[in-house]
Amino acid sequence: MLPARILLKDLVELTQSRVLLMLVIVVPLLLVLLIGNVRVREPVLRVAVYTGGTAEAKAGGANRKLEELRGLLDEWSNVSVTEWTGETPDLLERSKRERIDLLANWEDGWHFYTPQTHPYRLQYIATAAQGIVVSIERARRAKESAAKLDEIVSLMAKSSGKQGGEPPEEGTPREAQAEALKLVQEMKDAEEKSTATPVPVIAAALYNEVTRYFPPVSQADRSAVPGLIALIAVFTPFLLASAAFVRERETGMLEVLVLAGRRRWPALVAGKLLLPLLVAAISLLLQLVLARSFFAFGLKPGLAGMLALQFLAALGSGLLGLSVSATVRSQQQAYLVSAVYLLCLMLVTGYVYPLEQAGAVVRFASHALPLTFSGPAFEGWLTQGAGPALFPAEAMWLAGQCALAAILCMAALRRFERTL
Amino acid sequence: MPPSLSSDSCLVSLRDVEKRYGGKVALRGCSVELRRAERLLITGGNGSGKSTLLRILAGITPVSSGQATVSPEFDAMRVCYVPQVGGLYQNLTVIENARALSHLVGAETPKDLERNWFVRDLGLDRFLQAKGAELSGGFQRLAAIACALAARPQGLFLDEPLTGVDPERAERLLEGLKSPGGPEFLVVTDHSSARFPFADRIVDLAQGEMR
Repeated sequence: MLPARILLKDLVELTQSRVLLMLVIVVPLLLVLLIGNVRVREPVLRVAVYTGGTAEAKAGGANRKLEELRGLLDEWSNVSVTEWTGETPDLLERSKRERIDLLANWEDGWHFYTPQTHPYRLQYIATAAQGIVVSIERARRAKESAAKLDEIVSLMAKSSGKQGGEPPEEGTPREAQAEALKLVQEMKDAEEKSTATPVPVIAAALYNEVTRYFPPVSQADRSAVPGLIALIAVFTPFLLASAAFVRERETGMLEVLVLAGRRRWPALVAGKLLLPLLVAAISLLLQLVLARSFFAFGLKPGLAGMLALQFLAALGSGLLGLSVSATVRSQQQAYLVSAVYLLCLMLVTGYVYPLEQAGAVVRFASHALPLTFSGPAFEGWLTQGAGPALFPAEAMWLAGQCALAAILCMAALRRFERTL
Repeated sequence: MPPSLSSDSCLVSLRDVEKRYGGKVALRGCSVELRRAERLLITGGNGSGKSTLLRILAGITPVSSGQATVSPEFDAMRVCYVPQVGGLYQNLTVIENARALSHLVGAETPKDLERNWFVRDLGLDRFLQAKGAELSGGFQRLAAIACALAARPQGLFLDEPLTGVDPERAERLLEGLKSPGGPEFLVVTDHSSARFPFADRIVDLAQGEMR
């Protein structure tokens, strides 16, 4: 009951503060409208063609194949084709580094590979180039197999006598044979378990599927709208929660609130979280209406699941905000912390700068912020219909962040209580 | 085993209580009981620990050491607290403040507020639609007390309620507080005992200790 009472009181207070209401509801809507037409010019599908650059490759039709692919894909504004030549020892590593979606390898008989591992990205890449399956796992297995083969060969050599006609060492052949057989069995097992089998790409299928999933002018063209909505959904709860306790303290109402709750801090925290979460939910729904009405981002299946995922992100952010509120000494400090938090959300979560190209410290720090996980999920859902079931890892991370933020919040409140 | 209360009428019992803020001791060796149907006055000079003791009795502030025991009856009571400074939501009107506070403490929404003595006699009837920030300092104090009284509390904690209030209105407030039908118990702090002759018991503090 107490949380509901606090919510109602906070709601009355919010409705009486036109400036705050404008800031948390109207301004985000205006932002979505204003920058909704901004499009990220980055291609949606990046294809690399590896020819090796050798005369043999060129004679073998590498150039012809490359031109054929260019002809197929270049006309689509959001698909880019680049040629890789020269010696590249680890193609998959290079693909990861350069954020390539599809890699066509001449040396492998034009099999296509993708270094993308994220399920939602993978789903669309795999569908786009029909029949193309992940190759990372296959490459890893291939490396393992090659190493094991070497070992088997050496063991077999031991069991049948050393090269050069030397007699076998005593006691060794049987053990070496058993070891070799064991390795062969391991390889067979691994082969059976492997589901990543690349198949040659069919040009026509690629053409059709790319047209379907990556049309040059449509909502699939990367827009600022989904990312912005996800950012606002995470930031709004923090902004409101960061001032929750400190505002009560400044007006002398904190003691009244604490007495009303009889120092039951979990109930007080729940009450103080309800308004930020409610405002974030209203704001998110209004922005979804705008995104649909003005920018053709239709609602995709799995809305409830995606909202649940965003709720987790908002909850974690709100709890962090309450921790701040219990720590700072004034509303001014709280809003300054909120500004810093917004900067972190923009710079350290992949919202502006891709995490793949960021340094190790930034990538590590990004795990502490909810937008790192809620942003790509929401973007994938709104642009490409990637359902929430494709984001179990994100959901786990967000749940973990919530648990940690709750612990942090209670610790901050224990410290805060001593100052009452 | 938790310490027991000395009698059935005892609502809150403090034994040898100490309160520190960082390294600073605000209250030391304080033993007080709050009883039912009692008007308790806490007096002392500036910085003597009056507000701290009041907040500890109300159950707002945890003690650093010593024993603070609260009866289940006290826990079930509707209790209000009016701080020394503020006590009103500045962007809400007096009526909205009264409703918000009543709602927070689980009381019924006050009706016909202007008919109550704490509105009529204190001259707040013409300010009911004014926002907290629009009131003078004295009226803000009176409005905060009126909002607390509008929630029909069974117990009331007032921290220096007469600060900034003119003598005429202060007189009316005290008359109203001691009249029957008010809170079951009342705890007030003030620097002087002379202004509260109706107090049943006085706790006098000096530099955080009971005199």
